[in-house]
Amino acid sequence: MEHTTRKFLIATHGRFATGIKSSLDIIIGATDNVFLIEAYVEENKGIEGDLEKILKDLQPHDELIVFTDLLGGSITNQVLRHTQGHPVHVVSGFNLALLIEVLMADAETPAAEVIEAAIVNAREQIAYVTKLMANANEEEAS
Amino acid sequence: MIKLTRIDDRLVHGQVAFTWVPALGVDCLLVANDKVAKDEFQKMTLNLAKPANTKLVIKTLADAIVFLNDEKNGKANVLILINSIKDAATLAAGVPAITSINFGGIRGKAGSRLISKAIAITDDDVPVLQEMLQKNIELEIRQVPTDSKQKVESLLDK
Repeated sequence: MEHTTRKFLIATHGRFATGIKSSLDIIIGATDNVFLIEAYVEENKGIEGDLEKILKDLQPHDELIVFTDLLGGSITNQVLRHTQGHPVHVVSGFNLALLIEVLMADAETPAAEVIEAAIVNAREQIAYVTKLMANANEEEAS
Repeated sequence: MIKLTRIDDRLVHGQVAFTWVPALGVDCLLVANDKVAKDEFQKMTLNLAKPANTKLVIKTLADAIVFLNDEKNGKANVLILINSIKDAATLAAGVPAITSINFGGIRGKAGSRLISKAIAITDDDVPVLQEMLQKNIELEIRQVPTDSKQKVESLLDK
């Protein structure tokens, strides 16, 4: 059994990737194998050069999970185009909860399984809290 | 069984919900705090933020001691949260099963000093810590499970 390393890439318009990485460092501590791509910050060029570097360093048994900011955005489109034929899982519209869960998942659990479960939980995180509180208050009163 | 007894002045928050709970297989979070136990609003907000598949129990210190010493709660994998060194000492004195205390976060206030990045203590805390150490209770600092343990006693003279 060859050793598989799971690697991660957060690719976003602008500085979102770096920002969320600093949140991750605070909540789960430092993590290995997390790459960042910040598109269009310095100049208006594509991200294929940065992607190329990361893909080139992938060992035969490594897998790469790519998190992108917007489904249908230019980052996701470029990632899809330039990672064809590579062992890559692409997940769009990430939030902090999703990253935490996927990065902390047991490496023995298949990536596809980890991602499916994490997406379900991450969706739960988007909540209209004011309304939840109001509902909870009503329950108290009734 | 008690999986972890943690001092964290934020009680239940991201680090706890997203790292400690899954890493330790916790199914019950016990917040032991006299003030929170009497504060309906805070109880409600904590309940909103509790991790999936965990039970959240909020009790006064005295009730928490009864809960932890009750054998029928022994099956639960409990993570205990207190928000001060004083409360940790009270709990440890009342619950023989507590043999180790994790220091997660105590923010600085007037008259306190940092003994590590996230832990601030006051002069009044020192004898309380010494007393726990004399009782052979482990006092270790880790913010997240992947940190290596820093022993509180090695930082007290700073």
